[in-house]
Amino acid sequence: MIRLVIAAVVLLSGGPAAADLYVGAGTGIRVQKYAAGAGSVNTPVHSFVLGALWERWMFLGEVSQARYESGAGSVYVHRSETGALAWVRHAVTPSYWFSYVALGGGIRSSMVETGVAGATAENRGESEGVGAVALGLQSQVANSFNLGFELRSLSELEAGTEPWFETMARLFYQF
Amino acid sequence: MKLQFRRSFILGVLAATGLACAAKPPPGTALIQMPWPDSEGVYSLQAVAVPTLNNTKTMQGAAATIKIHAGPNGPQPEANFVVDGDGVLIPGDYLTLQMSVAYAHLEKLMFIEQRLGLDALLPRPRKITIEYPMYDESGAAVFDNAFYYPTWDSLVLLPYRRRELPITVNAGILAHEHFHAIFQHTLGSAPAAAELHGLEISWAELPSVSCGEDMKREVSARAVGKPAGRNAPMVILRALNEGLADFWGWYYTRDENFIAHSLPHAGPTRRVVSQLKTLPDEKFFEAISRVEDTRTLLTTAYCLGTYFSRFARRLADVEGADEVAGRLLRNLIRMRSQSQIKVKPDLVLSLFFASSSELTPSRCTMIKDFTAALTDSALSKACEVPQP
Repeated sequence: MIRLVIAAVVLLSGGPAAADLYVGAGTGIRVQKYAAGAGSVNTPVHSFVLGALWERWMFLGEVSQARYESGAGSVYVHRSETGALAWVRHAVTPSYWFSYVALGGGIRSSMVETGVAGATAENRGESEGVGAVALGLQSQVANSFNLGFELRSLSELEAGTEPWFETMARLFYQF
Repeated sequence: MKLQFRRSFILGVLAATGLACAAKPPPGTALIQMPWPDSEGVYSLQAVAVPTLNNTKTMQGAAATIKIHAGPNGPQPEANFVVDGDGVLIPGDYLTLQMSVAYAHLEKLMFIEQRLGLDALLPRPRKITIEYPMYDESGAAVFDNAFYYPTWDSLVLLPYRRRELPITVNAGILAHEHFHAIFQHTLGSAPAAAELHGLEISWAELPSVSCGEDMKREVSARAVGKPAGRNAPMVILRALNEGLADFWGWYYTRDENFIAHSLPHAGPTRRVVSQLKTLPDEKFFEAISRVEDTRTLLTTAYCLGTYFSRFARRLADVEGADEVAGRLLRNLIRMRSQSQIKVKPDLVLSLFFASSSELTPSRCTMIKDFTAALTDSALSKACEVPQP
């Protein structure tokens, strides 16, 4: 039975081929609506990924972190968000710079540190499901190194809140 | 230094201070972690129950509607909460925290009016604008201020740029501004008083002043113009508005120094202490009518306001804060329908004693001390007549 499944996967993926493994790190900007009427905020976001490329398909696991700081006087609110997402992406135009579309899903959790007049509290939020879509470009820029640019939209699954957007530049190392 | 977060569940209708009463909230009530004061004026992070908040996304409920950066017709805000393991809403940014605190205090102030049997005093939900961008005549942005804007019937809170407690988080200042709405809807809209509005410079801009002999000297030195018939009533009315708003800030928080947490320069002058100050004599008020400088008139109004706030505080200490606060609101409502109001220096007495039949010996002692320098105080004279 297992042999049959493996055979089917190999057949569907275009024949026997070893997957290329990647590790990457990225940085970007998150643009999120901030209390409507007050515009939006840009927050730096950083990510670390592990990926496996198989023909036109790439499977990635990503951990990202964004931190937003706000406050006035003796009051502040610092929120950091950690996300863990799994992505499946498909190369649309396989060329030197190949474009791709991607679908992702996972969870994120927030840690909020609040301070007032010297007293502080740290609160961890419950984890929330997150769905995502992305468009990107990637290319091999040097031996074993790939550079990629991605634009993506993410949204909480449960609360149905407005999506937020991220741009991400990544450098991959191919093993 | 990190202090231990104290989580207590603060319920709406509050016992002694209007602010602190631990109880388990009813199911479905939003619990929001926010800076909240104790009666010593110490702010800590607490989980506050906000039972009338219907929508934690747009921050709407029976007590208030909130806008950010815009007036009442601005777009709906969108709050950003993180829910912790206990179901407590944690504001995820400073704007959400400000919205939460402002809503919660406006709700508790509503509960106080309900408790005093005066829940129909103001139209509700009340309107609040947060982080409103405002510019002075030179085009420079104005910060660190709050005011009640009658045209919108709204509290307007400007961005805070000092290092102390933001005004939006200051319970006493929110109560102070809320009282201006009460004043506007009662005595301020009385036919006899409506024409006396003026002196619209904002209080937080005023320098630190000494309000005793300095005030009298300043008025005397600047009393050089022709007598302007409106000046003295205008100053008295503004002083009543400000002084009683300070009293309301104290009544809500029981913190006599609540202003200083956000605006330290105003603290010493405006402190709502239980110490009676004798009103200046009639010559002082006659001199006010000859002052042309608006800034002096306004400073005088604020200084005079402390006479009124401290009289109210003293009375509250003797007779009970709830009793005195209720009497104040009821007399303000009574005056709203009066076609004639004599705006005299001792008008404040009419806001606590509706008739001479309410004059007890202990009240008369206070009134006499308060009006000792005035020769024409009706209630003081009534105290001379033996009460049945």
